[in-house]
Amino acid sequence: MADETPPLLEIRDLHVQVEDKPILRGLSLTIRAGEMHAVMGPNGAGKSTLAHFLSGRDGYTHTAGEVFFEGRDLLSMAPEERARAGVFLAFQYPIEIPGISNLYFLRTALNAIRRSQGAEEVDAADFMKLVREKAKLVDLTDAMLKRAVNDGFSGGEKKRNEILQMAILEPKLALLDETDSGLDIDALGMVARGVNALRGPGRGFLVITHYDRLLAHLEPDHVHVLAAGRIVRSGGRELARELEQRGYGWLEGAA
Amino acid sequence: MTSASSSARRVEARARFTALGVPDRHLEAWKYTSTRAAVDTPWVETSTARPVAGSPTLPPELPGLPTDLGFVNGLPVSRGVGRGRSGAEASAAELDALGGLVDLSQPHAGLWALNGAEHDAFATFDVPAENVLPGAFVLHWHTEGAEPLRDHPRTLIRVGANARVVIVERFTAQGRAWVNPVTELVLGPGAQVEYVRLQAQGADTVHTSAVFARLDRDATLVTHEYACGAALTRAEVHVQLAGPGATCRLNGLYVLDGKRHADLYTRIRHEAPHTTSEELYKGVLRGNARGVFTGNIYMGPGVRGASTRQENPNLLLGDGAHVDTRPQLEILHNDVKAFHGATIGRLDPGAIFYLRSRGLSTEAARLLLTGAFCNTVLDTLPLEALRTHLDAWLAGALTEDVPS
Repeated sequence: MADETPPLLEIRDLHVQVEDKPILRGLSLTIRAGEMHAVMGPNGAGKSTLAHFLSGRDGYTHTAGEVFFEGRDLLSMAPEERARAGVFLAFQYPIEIPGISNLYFLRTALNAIRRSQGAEEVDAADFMKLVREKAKLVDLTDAMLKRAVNDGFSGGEKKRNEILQMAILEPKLALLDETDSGLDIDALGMVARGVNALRGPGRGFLVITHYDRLLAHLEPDHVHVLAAGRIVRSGGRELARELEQRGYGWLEGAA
Repeated sequence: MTSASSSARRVEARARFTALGVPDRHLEAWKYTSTRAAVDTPWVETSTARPVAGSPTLPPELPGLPTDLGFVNGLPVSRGVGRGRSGAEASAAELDALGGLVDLSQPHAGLWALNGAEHDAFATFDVPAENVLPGAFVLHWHTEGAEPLRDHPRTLIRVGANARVVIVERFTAQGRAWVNPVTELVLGPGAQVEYVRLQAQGADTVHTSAVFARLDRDATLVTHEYACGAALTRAEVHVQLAGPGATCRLNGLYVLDGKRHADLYTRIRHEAPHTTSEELYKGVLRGNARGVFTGNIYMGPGVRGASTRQENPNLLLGDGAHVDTRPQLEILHNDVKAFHGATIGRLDPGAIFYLRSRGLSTEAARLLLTGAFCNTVLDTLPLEALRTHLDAWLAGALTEDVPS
């Protein structure tokens, strides 16, 4: 019997331009709840465009194709509507916000999402308990939680902070945009531990990366190669290892 | 109480105001602020105003900040915990000290002279040497009458050697009012003073203030200027770093909307070696509001090892909003450090997107980022009660809709 629940994310023949330049050129990808997909590819293949476009960032022109999130037209939704529906983007370059503490920011975001779902706002004591528990996943201290958002954080601390936000907001679909870039081996381990703790039957992941090293910790179910704006090869975990050894050159012809 | 010298001082101030009048744009120090509209109103000086039936009373004090001295229309109305005195109780020495820091020979001294000629009572407080005052010394000046009133609060505070005090001067007004305070702060060696000015006045008010401070050796003064309510604000802070090692930090925040105009003028004179000054004035301008910041720094010839740092970031949120920022540095010694930076910008679209991607609406994201911009000034406040009060004020100021 066919599964009648719509996929978490369904991308059909997506074409996206930046100014006049086509970046995504017929990309199709389906992610079901519980699955982790990795998209790998050389620089300039369109990896970050895919992540940004799915989260609703300005500056991209949609020229053809469709994207559905749980059967809804994702592209008609504002960025905050996507977030409230359960889409989360872990930024490659998280923004610094001096003057607002991490705690205040996290609580504001959580309450914005809860309100949109008709749930009550979380009170201060319950929130602290929740944050402390989740912060352990990525080794963020109380002192870092009280500091301004990403202000003066190292690259690794910023990425761990993104994973903490994800753990607190509990999205259905997590997009990780080169979360492994700029991480030392310890931070990579912490980020991977945080992501793995969030895996479960109700949640899907799209992990965008240039290298295999994060995937070695995450063991994705599917690996895709993005080159020149479309998926040129799909496979299992072994494909990532093959790419690590052979590079991308041998596949770019296929695009 | 009067003394011969205080009478002579009033006469001199009257003559000086007659000569100078209210400053206006023809003066370099007032280049961006016109007082013409303010001058057109038929103001009545509080000293000659008719008594009002059921005479106005002082608005309630702020939670956690009990009032030490309260004044309505220039006259003392309440005494709190008994610190400080009003002019009627002042000693001859205090009367003689009044005006000591105010240089009426300056071309833009018109409003200081007007204050000197017209003020009624005044507030005075001597903090004995080595004393550390708990909480804050709070002065509250309120202006309210049936006719447009011009009020001239006058304050002299002298802080003895190594004494520490937080001073709050709060100004409120009801109806049409022009409030023109002059405050003098005299800091002895090693004294540490935080001085906070809260200006919460209606859109019918004009607020022109001048603070004059003189710092002896190793004294530290931190000022906190909050320009919020008045239709027209001119807030001046003049600091004389007279003794070696003296330090001042001047903080300011102006959040303006509608057609409000605020002109923040600061002048710091480094007169001794190893003196330090820092300034952080931030502005948020909505609607058609207009802001002006002047950071005038003078470093004299004998100030080896002195340093100054000045920052004036501005956030323009209204299409009709405008800001003029003027660093003015005059440095006569080679061995000093000087930095100044002024920016005029809008909210970062990348930061707005980041917050929206976490579920905040565009409006909530803008509000949060604007609050964050202001918070780095509020973070310098000395007392939790002040922070609570100003957080509430800021939340209102950032969401209020004022006709532009």
